[in-house]
Amino acid sequence: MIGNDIVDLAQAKQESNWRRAGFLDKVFTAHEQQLIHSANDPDCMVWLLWSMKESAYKLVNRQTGKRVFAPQKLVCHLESTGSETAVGTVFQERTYYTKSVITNQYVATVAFTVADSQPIDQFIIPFSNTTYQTQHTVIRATIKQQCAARLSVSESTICIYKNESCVPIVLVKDRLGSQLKLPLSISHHGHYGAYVVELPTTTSTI
Amino acid sequence: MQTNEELIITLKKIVKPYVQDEQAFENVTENTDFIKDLKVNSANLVDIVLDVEEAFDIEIDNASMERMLTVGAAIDIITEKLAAK
Repeated sequence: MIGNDIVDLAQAKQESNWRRAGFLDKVFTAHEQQLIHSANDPDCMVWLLWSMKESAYKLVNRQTGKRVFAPQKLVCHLESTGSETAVGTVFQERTYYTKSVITNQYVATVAFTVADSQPIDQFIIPFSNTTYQTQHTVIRATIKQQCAARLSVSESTICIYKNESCVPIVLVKDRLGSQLKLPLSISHHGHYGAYVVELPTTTSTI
Repeated sequence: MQTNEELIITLKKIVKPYVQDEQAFENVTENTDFIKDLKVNSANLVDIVLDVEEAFDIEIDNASMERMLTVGAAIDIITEKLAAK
C-alpha cells in the first residue's frame, strides 16, 4: 500500500499563510509545532510535515475507504533529515513510514506500510501549465508511458482508472486477457506533479 | 440570527477564493465536496474553517472539522454552533 503527496513551495507560499492565527493549532500537534518553530527553515518544515500527513492520509483512505479531515490525528515523527531527504513515521492507529525529497522547488513524500519494503520510486513531473485539467491529462499520459517502459509492455495494454472508492489503479491487460492491477497514487500542486506506482515484486524463488 | 439563505451566501463568499473549479462552484449544491468537486486544496480547507470561525464568531472543534468535507456538512456545523451560542 502506498500514498504520495507533493507541495510546490512557491505555490504554497502564494496560496497559504500558515502563520495566520489558529492555522498551526488546527493542523499540527504540539511536538510538530515545536519542530516548525525550531527549524532553520520553518516554511519548509511546515510543508514537509504536511506532505507526510497527506501521503499517509491517502494510504489510510485507500485501506479504509473513509474520508475525514483530521490532520492532527496523523502524528508525525522525523527519524532523520538530510539536506535533501527526510525519513519519518506517521502514526494513526498504526505506524506508517515516509520518505521525502526536499528541493528548493518542492517537497515530495511517499508513505508506505512496511518499514523495509523495497524502495518505491516517486516520479516528479514539472508542468508548464497550472490548470487542473491539463495536468490531469499530462500526468496520466506520462504514467502510461513510463509504466509501459518499466514493465516492458506496449502502452496500449495499460489503462488508468479509479475504483469504486475513487482510488487510482494502473491496469495492465495482456493479450490472453489476464489482468494486473497496480496501486497508484497521484498528487499535483502548482507546477509539479508526482506519482508512485507499486510494481509487481520480482522476488526470486527460494 | 442569520437566515439559512444569508448563511449560504456568507459561506459561498468565504469559499470562492479557494475554488479551483469555477464551473462546479456555479452549480454548487449541499452535496458539493470542497476537495473532490471544487478542487480546493486541502491546506486551504484549513483556511475555510478559520474564515468560517471568524465570520460567524464560532469555534469549530476538531471533531466537527473532521466531517466538514461538503457544503452541506459545513452548513450543518455552522447552524449547530450558532444554535449553541
